[in-house]
Amino acid sequence: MATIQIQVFAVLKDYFKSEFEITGSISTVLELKIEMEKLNPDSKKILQASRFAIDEKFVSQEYKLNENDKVVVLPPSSGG
Amino acid sequence: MIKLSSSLLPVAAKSSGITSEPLDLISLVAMAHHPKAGGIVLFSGEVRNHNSGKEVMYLEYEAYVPLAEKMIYEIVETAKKKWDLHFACCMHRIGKLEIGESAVVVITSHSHRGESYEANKYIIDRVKHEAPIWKNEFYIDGSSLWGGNCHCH
Repeated sequence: MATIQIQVFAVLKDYFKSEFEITGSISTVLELKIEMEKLNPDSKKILQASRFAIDEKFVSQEYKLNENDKVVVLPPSSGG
Repeated sequence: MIKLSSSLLPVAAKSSGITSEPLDLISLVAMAHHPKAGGIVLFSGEVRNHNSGKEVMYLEYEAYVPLAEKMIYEIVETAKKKWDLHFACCMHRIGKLEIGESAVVVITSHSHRGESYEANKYIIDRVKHEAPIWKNEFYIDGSSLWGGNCHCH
């Protein structure tokens, strides 16, 4: 079991609290994404298009999570 | 020939990154003047009063600041090297913005205008598509919509 801290931005705040945590048998970013989709199935499409970052660096779906990692979830950009 | 010392040039204040203050285009362009520059291009991305047929009242921009700033620096530095620019900057504003305000500014300076235009477009295109910055549009009918949600991609 691992506890993962999550922070979401922009449109994802319509689907989740801006900061929350998930505890479960989550070992990769992909598994975390699946857990988030279970929490709110309507978020699936946006999560599929989102990028994930840890320590201010993008991480891949295969990235192995560590206990107390803080994962930032970034929907597609719309700056400018 | 006189060699220009870099100390004669304006002191580089923070010219790239994210700010919650109104963008001071005049001060930024003043930093771009350079004795070797023959053409400076300034792009300002502005808040317009309509989008997708709806009347927009104002916008709010949000960013994941540490990563957005890192990416903006990287994009600006890449452009500087690629086009051998004398100066380049990109500053994006966050928070509430009114119609007609500048949301993002990109300034590029080169010996010739062609390179300044090309490099400027390169920077704004990459910052818009890659940097974690989002706009939330607030409409006259009281509704609002985040950019970057799946419906518009």
